[in-house]
Amino acid sequence: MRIAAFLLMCALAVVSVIEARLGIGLALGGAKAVLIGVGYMELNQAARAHMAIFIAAVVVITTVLLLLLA
Amino acid sequence: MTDSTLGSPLLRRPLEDPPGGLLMWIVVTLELLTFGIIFVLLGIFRNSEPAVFAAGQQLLNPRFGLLMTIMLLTSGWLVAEAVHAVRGKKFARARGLYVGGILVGVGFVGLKLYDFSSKIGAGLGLGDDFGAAYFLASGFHLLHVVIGLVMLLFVATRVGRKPFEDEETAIAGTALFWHMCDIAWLFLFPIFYVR
Repeated sequence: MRIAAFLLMCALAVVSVIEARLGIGLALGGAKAVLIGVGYMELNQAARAHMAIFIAAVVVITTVLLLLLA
Repeated sequence: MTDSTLGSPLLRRPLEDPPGGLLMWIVVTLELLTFGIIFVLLGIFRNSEPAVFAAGQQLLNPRFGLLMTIMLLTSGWLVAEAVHAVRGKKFARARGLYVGGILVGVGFVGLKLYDFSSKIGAGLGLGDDFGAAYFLASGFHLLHVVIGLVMLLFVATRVGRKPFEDEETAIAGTALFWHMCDIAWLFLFPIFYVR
């Protein structure tokens, strides 16, 4: 799971540079942050509320940045 | 039912006992809040002065930013694998993974310092708006990377050899801090490098 998340995040990083669009880059950044939280920070083993708060926080900051910039 | 020791991470933990320890989660949350404020301020700057921001971005190479992103992701993955190895009592493997993660992290620091020196050489500085935003935001991130590397080095030299006072915070908490650096970069990267 961790190596799959790693490869997916690398692929998303490459896509964000190829696409060269800020909105896509930010959205993919948010997706990668969730992958890191759930996979690497072990939120898949934390309380569901903890995981939900983390994902909600990433969605909020990504949305705020998208509204500001994209 | 949960188990707060490093050996049994399979079941969900209670809210007051998160992976990495509550203390480190408080630290990481405060750091991410600070980075969040920085991202919003950068967003406001980029939105209010698009021409200044676009001119500054011409000095930044997206492929160089991509290389640094992949280095941080690689280091984060290696450290995540190291934590997993410690949980499985595979200490020699964990040390190898920590060393790999640290070396790639040091590579990131080297690239970032080269990046800073080349930008200064190109005329970017704290005196102009874009330069100030770039150096302060990525310098703040670089400071966290260096702190994270010191923490990882401390853990790598002791794991499996000397006991930690609080093993969960030392092993998983240090990794948590390192992944926080990854997350911060994942937003700094598109803000500065994607045009």
